[in-house]
Amino acid sequence: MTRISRTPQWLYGWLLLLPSAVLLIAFTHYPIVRTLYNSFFTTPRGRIPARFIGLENYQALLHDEIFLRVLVNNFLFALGTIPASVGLALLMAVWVNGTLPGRALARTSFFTPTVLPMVAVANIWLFFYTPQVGILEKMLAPFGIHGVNWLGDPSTVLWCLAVMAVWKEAGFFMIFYLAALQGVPPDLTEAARIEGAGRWYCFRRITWPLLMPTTIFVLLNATINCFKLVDHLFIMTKGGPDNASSLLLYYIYETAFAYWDTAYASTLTVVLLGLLALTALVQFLYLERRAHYR
Amino acid sequence: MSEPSASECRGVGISLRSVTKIFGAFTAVNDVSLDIAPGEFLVILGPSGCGKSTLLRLVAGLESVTSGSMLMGGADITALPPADRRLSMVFQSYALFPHLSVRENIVFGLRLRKRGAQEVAERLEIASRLLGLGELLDRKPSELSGGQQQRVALGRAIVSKKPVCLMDEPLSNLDAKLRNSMRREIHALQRTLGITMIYVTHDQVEAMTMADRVALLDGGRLVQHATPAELYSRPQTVFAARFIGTPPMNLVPLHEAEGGAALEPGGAVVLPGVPGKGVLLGVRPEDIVLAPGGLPARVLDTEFLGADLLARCALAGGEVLVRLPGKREVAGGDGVRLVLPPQALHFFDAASGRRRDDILCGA
Repeated sequence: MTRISRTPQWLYGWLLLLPSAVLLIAFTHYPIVRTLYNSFFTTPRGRIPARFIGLENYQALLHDEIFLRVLVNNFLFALGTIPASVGLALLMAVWVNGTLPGRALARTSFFTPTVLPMVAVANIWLFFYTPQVGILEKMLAPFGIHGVNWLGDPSTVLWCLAVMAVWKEAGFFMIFYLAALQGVPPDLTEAARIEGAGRWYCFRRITWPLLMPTTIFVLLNATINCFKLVDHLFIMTKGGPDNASSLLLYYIYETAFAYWDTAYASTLTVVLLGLLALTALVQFLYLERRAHYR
Repeated sequence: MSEPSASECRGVGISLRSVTKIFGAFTAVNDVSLDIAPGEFLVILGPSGCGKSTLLRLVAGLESVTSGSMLMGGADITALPPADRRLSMVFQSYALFPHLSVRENIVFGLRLRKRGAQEVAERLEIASRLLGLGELLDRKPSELSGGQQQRVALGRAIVSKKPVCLMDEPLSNLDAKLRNSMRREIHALQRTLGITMIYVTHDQVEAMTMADRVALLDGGRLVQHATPAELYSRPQTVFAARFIGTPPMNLVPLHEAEGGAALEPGGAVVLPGVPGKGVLLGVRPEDIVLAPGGLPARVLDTEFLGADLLARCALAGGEVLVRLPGKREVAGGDGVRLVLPPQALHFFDAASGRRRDDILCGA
């Protein structure tokens, strides 16, 4: 006992923090700072060392048509996937929260896409979209729609990927909504029913406001995911045709590890981090005020 | 549905006719028939799992009956949805909407029914004055104490001006002291408003103090429907006798003897003229008197309760509890003489548990 008391308390604190601090600093904090630092320099090539160029990389960004293209793509992808997957998740959760026969089976099947790895999902959906022999072709042929190269046409490719992403994501978000719905006491809806509230009124005035914390959480995750999930691009399109399906993170990958322009990739990464931080901030500041936490 | 006018807001009568509710293989409410007078305070009393909450939910329309019918003010309401039954309900959990302020909680139903702003304000004003909620109107339920939440739940029931109010164990989440004052408050409120009240509880004190009449349930069946006084003085079954009264009534099996009943096989006749076979003698602890000439008994132990003293006594091979004034100086091991006053004795059939009014003790 006496030996322990002689060792300063703060040393124990730091020793306990050390393992996780080392990992966090080495793999998270240092890379972030280093990325920011690199974005102000040129890319070192061979014997030519990196040279400080201030904001030149950021200026180049504004004239980079591919960057603007992937930014718009990412925005459209977000628009196509976030409301659809969150809405679908809520719908499925409300549905399987009720008393329907085969409820466990419905829950499981909704959740299945989530447990599949994205690479496997991409391969499956690649077959769906294949021209001539794909399932989509077969299904739409009776309606006179055939010969569409779904993933080869710049006007359809992004939406095809969005549909797949919704299919993959909705089940995951459903789980959160389902958990939240089960946490809403049945007394509340019963009290509302006695007052004469219909199903829709109950949902709008009681269930939906009580789900708000979950909605914020799910929206935030959906936003992060639509920037983060690019695995399918490697399998299905490689960002093509003509960058029509490329997303910001995929473009960063290409710039860094295909073109080896690490400084410019750092610049893009800083922009991506900034965008994510901004959306998180907006969602928390705006929605948080309207949410009720129990 | 049209809103009842002010005169209609006084209570209306309710009749239950052979109401039965079966969940799968479990019969929760079994053939219950009851008449509740307009403006009456009915307490549905029973142990947990006796079907009292289910019965209330059937009246509310939150569950549908398996068979039987329900009338309100003479009209059949069996198939009506809860909102059309002209009743309000206070839940055990209060069921306050956590994201709405006290004000919004109280006027939730009025908003829903699109009442005019002035009417809403007036009714809110009346309810908040009646319940002393004035300063709490802008708070959220989570910022209120249990008693305050209870008042808000009452407020929501009051502003709806429905002629019938249902309450499901509304006081069970409050501490003992608050429960006493809220009990009185709810009772006074029901009297003031003149509404018909159906109040579910497992607490016999609440039932005895508040009720005009008590419906005692056991295993889904109606055991006795009577005033609190009658329930206490003339319990119809052994269950009713044991359930009402603290400590419960003493029940002693009688034995047949020459010319009357004995307390033990082959013992002396203590109840002349009483048939001993298959009969249970019931006597409340507070009715037993210590007096010379009584039955000889020995005090096993005592419990001092302040005003009273409970003495557990060995009497003729059995045990009885005796409630004595707290000043009585009796201790374990003492020999005492117990008098069972004939007018305070109850007799029950040992097999069916039913009261036997045909037996009179002529001692």
